[in-house]
Amino acid sequence: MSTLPYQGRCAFASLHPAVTFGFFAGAIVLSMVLANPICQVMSVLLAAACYLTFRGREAWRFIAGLTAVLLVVTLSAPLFNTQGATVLLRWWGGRPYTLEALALGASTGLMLVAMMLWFASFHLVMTSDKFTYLFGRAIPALSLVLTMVLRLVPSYRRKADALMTARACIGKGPAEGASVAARVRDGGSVLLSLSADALESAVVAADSMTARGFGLSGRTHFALFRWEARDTVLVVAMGALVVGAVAAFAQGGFAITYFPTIVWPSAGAAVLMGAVCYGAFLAIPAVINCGGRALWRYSLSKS
Amino acid sequence: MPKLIEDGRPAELSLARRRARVKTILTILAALVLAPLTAVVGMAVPGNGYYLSGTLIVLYAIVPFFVSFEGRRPTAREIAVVAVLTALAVAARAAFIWVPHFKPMAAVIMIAGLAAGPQTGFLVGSVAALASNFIFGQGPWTPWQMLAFGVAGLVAGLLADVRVFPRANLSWPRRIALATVGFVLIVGLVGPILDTSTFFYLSTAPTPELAAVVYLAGLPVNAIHGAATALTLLVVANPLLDQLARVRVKYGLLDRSRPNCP
Repeated sequence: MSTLPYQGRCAFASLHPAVTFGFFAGAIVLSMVLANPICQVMSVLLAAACYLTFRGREAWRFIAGLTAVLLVVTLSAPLFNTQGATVLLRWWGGRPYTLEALALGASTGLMLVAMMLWFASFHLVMTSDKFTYLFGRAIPALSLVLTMVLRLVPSYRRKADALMTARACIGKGPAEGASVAARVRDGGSVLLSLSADALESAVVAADSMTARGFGLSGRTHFALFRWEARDTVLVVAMGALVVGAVAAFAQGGFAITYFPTIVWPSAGAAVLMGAVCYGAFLAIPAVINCGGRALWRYSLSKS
Repeated sequence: MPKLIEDGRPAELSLARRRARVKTILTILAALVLAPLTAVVGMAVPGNGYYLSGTLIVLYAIVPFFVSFEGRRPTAREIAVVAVLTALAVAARAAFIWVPHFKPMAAVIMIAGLAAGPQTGFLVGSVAALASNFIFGQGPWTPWQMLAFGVAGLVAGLLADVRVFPRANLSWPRRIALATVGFVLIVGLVGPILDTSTFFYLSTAPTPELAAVVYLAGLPVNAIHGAATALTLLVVANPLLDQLARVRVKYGLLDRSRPNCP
């Protein structure tokens, strides 16, 4: 999991965790609520742009996979939903395959793809240290559990590897073409050696923590994150843009009905404003990343 | 020596404990009030209101367990044991690298539930799901996985509480019964919860046909997952429960007859 390089490369990842988390929460919730096709297309494109600025060329494979998902969801939707007035074709003894259901399927697919893309960026940016920093005050014991788990899992994996190598050396590994039961039994032995060691060292680790004053009052925490002026500016801007989008939504500007026929909302000035606000909100990470990179190149060229 | 530290807790803890219990009960009540409200509001929201309200209700189900754990003010040892059990559940996959498509996580969670009770079982399950998503990728499925695997640990813990299964030394018939329970639990409860999340984010307009397709498509996947769980339980349950019993006897951890333990 090479998440660290992104922190250095991408300006958006260096913002305060609360701002990052707020942005993704807003983007994901709004992507699910604003079901208007224009909003959905904007969300998908800007989520893809955001993911591209984080991953670069590696992002295209994921985006191609999601395009396939979009196609499957869209084309298969009319198979399960026969509502709609415009029948495109009939199949399986006259079941209608309607244009309206196809359009709704496209809407579902776009929403799904947008969510996947936002979550993919979220996964890159909201690393576990930011998560525990944000929620450490509300759930101190559980965030400690999570921190310990995330540290223990890779070490257990390495230990499991070592155990398996050692077993293979003394001829105890699974033979070529061994049955599933034999392989499971072999895995079980590895797991049990691992757990015996892990449980014992858990108690040792815990006593060591207690000896160093775990849980005593008056201790402070160190965190790498600092609230800066740009965080304040961004929070205000994000808040205003979300309010703009939600206002248009509340007026019913984004409402669209699919059945029996597709009825588009009438595009008034308020709707247009809402769509612009929404687009500007979703563009924030991509713009910040591109801006950060441009600044970096500029400073390189000057030196 | 550690015994001294364990027992040297301040005396006002019983008051704090009572306060924590009240807090937990209030959280549960709030969840019970909020859940139907959320469902009603979710129906009215256009777009994917079903997924949104469904996920919120899932979170309401998880939060009381977390509040209760925090309210207990767990000691370092309790935290460490929960963390180790959770990490074992997540990392267990590495031990079964030679068996393709083998997911032993639910089995380890169930064993943790059997040994440590329903609350800790739920905790281990839900944190294991969250942690493995930090490694493999967060997604709209994260809260649902936390609930599904938490429920696996919860049910195992409840079965141990009503003495269907002992907390160590299972006889052969009991072991086979436990494996069967594991299979049924995955195919009948954990798998369907995960499929429901799939159904919800595909359902801007849910129809019975779509539901049938999603749940039927999930069935073979769940059957494989259930078989892996049953096999793991058959092979690992008894020795691992013995190891946990040793921790219980040697350190007094995981012992619900003592008040301060998970």
